[in-house]
Amino acid sequence: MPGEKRQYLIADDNRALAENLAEIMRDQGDEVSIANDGADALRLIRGKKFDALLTDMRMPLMGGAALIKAIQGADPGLPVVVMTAYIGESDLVDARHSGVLAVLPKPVPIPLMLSLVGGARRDAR
Amino acid sequence: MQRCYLSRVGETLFDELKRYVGFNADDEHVLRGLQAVVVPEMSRITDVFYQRILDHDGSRKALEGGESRIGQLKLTLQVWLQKVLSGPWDEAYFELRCRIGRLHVRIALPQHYMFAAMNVLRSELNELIDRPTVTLVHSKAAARSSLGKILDLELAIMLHTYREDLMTQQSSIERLATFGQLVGSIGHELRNPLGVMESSLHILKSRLGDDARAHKHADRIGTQIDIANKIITDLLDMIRDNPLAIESLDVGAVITDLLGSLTLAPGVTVELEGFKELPRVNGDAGQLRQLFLNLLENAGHACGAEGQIRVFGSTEGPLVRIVVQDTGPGVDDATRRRLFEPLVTTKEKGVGLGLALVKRIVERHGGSVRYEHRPEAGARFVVEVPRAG
Repeated sequence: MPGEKRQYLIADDNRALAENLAEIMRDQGDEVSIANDGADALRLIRGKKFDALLTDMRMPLMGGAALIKAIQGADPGLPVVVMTAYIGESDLVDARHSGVLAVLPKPVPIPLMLSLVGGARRDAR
Repeated sequence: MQRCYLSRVGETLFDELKRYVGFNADDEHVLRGLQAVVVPEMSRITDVFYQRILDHDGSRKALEGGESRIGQLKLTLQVWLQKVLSGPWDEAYFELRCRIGRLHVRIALPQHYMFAAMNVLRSELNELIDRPTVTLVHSKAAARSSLGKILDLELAIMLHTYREDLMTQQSSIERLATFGQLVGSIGHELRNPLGVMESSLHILKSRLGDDARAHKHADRIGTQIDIANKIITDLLDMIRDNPLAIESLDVGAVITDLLGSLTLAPGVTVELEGFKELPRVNGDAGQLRQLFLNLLENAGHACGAEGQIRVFGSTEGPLVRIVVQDTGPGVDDATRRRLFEPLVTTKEKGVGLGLALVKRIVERHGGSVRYEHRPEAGARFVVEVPRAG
């Protein structure tokens, strides 16, 4: 819907990084919510339809892999972009199988991340 | 090694071994006395020895340099046998034998072949001693006994070099395991602050306006963050033990493909030869790409502003050989010995992980890499990996 602000959710326990990424996305005119871990993100997802989720893999309490699994019940149409410092690990392979849109390395390549979440469409997977 | 035996004060390992098998001055006399009988038969004995090796699939494959070198190997064996019988059986003898042993370790000759091979010599020599037509200075029993002792000593020294090598490997594996865990966690932890810096820099850059100096320094920070990231990636690659994704690969295509990501000075050219006919290899595409990228980056760096990099492929029996050479200054003697160890570098800005990573990747592929010294010429690296199929 042209003109309408896109709504993103970032889940990362590194608050400074989450806020930086949020700031960059807001500069593009989008709205961003921040969650500190998977459980926090899931609570937000249950209350609102986001256009895309950008999530870390390693977080306290509930990590990225568990979050992605829970989303399949809570909001199966939500496009997910994973960011991780641990490319190539086994939980990442699982995440890929559960249909995430993309896996980005950390530090996050910002232009690529912006184009991925910007192009993400709900229910496209 | 010494700790395994009860050694006497001031006794060398060789003395101790001689004491164990009971090798003494009498044996030395007997062996010297045997020379007159053995020397005329030496050529025949070495023929029998190598014929036995060639008749056996496994031992034939272990021959370094293939069958073409047998003529030379026979001469070497004759020199060896001559020395067995003439001595002197002193520390220099022991050192020489250790060097021969290490040579066998280096070509990875399976230890079990040594016993069979030594037994061929033992029975040929005993058969000679026992011939009714042969007369000896000493008794035939004494000759067989002394010969038995010296050949046992020879085997003991060989095994000693294998053990030496094993212990060196063991301690370096243990060191690397602890070091690896530490490096892994530090590497991953450092990515977090770097990620924050990088995203903050991204925001900052959009707010700098047209202040050229501010942009210059922001760019500089960005470059340094990239370098830090590259170091972390290399370190993590060093310690990673994810299984390789093995497939049948065209090495020439892997190399041609990576040339695009190689930054070279305008005066540096790259030539590829012999890849059209090259058999495919079994390998992990990403890892092999990394291997050759590191070698070619080094070659480019060595060339400086002007030079030539040549990469050629060839087949060596069951192996595919890829040689990367440049027209740079080459590697000096001191560095050459430690070239593939981590944290050894000659570059001002290097960390010394590139070649260590090359070695690790090639070894994980069941291959080897070595540096070949070319006097008055640049560096040459030789990579050998098993061919597919």
